[in-house]
Amino acid sequence: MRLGPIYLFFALLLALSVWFLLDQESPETLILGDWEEIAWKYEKLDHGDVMDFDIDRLQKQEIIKNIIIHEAETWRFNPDGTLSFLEENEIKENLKWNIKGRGHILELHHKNNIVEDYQVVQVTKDELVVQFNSDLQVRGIVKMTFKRIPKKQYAQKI
Amino acid sequence: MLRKYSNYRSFSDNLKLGTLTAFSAGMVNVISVIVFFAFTSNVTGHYAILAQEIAKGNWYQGAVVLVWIFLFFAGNFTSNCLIIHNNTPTGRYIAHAIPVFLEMACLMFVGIYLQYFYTESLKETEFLVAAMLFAMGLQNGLTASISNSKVKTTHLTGLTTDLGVVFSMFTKKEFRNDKKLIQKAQLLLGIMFSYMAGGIISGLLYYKIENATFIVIGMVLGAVLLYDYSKLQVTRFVQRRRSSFQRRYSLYDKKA
Repeated sequence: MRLGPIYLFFALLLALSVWFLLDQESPETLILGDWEEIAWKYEKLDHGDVMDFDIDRLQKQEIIKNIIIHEAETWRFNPDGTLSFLEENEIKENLKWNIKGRGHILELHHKNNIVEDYQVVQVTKDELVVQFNSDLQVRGIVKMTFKRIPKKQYAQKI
Repeated sequence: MLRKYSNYRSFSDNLKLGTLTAFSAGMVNVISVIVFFAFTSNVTGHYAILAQEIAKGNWYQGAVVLVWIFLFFAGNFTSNCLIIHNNTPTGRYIAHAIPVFLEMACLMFVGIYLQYFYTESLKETEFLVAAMLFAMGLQNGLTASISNSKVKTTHLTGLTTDLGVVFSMFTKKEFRNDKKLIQKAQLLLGIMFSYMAGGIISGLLYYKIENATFIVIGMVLGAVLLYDYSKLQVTRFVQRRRSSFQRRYSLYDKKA
């Protein structure tokens, strides 16, 4: 059996992976900046008869009561590892954030030592989608979608 | 546990090696999930995730997972290389002990780094998970290689398959008293329960002693190394005594 082509294939694959790691932006850098909450939806539900996957304002408030995050318009991820929740341009809370796993877990450390984990479904230059489990009313996975606020626009807003 | 090779190994050798290393693998896997949100004792899930990330076009995450899989492969490769290139009766214990020692070193490095240097950045997380996967590859390569693939302790997919097969054999009366099959079932169950116990204990310990849990894992691996080392010392002591006794006895014979 000729082993040369096999070794070459795997060496190339490894080199390609290393190149991707060096060339592509990691989720940790992509997430930096200001993000505006645009939608809350149920991703999955274990209630077959529930037709609507959209989460209305009342449901949202009910869910928020049972998790630590505050209802905020804007999430600001700072490079120093702090996350600020802003509402009407005022900081409501500051906490620590970090990304774990292969870049798929967003961990938020609150000041009272409580840690919350969100699954990062997607993080691109324009969009951030995170999920968390909710056990309220109906058990399901809640999907939060954010849109990036361009730096200029945010400065103008302030 | 480590001195014997291939078919020269007894059921007891495999059981001791299997249960102790499975215990440490269970500990490593659970602690890595708690600290890093990534499995480190198996790669089946990583292959599925790799495919998923490629399908989603998440090239960065895909590359991370591919490098992790490679590190597990590298661990197995290194382990078996050390074994097959040093397979002499005198150097066998050393050849089999080096992968365990390297595994210990990797895990201790992760523990020390977590305790004193970890800033919870993604790069560090990726690197430390890679080190743990390499360590688990070393262990899996060692146990599989020296036991003729009878003992695999870092993942339970194959083991659960084998258990299903063995227990289905027991549905036929003629196999119920088959000593080999009974021993196989005992070995597989031993590994399974040990892996579970390691995982549970690691989970409980981490919330009490945090990163010092890695010292406990090191101690389990140390027991694997020292058990055979002590046996070797006893064997050498007995051999020395026997040869000196024989020398004395032959001198006495000559005088007589």
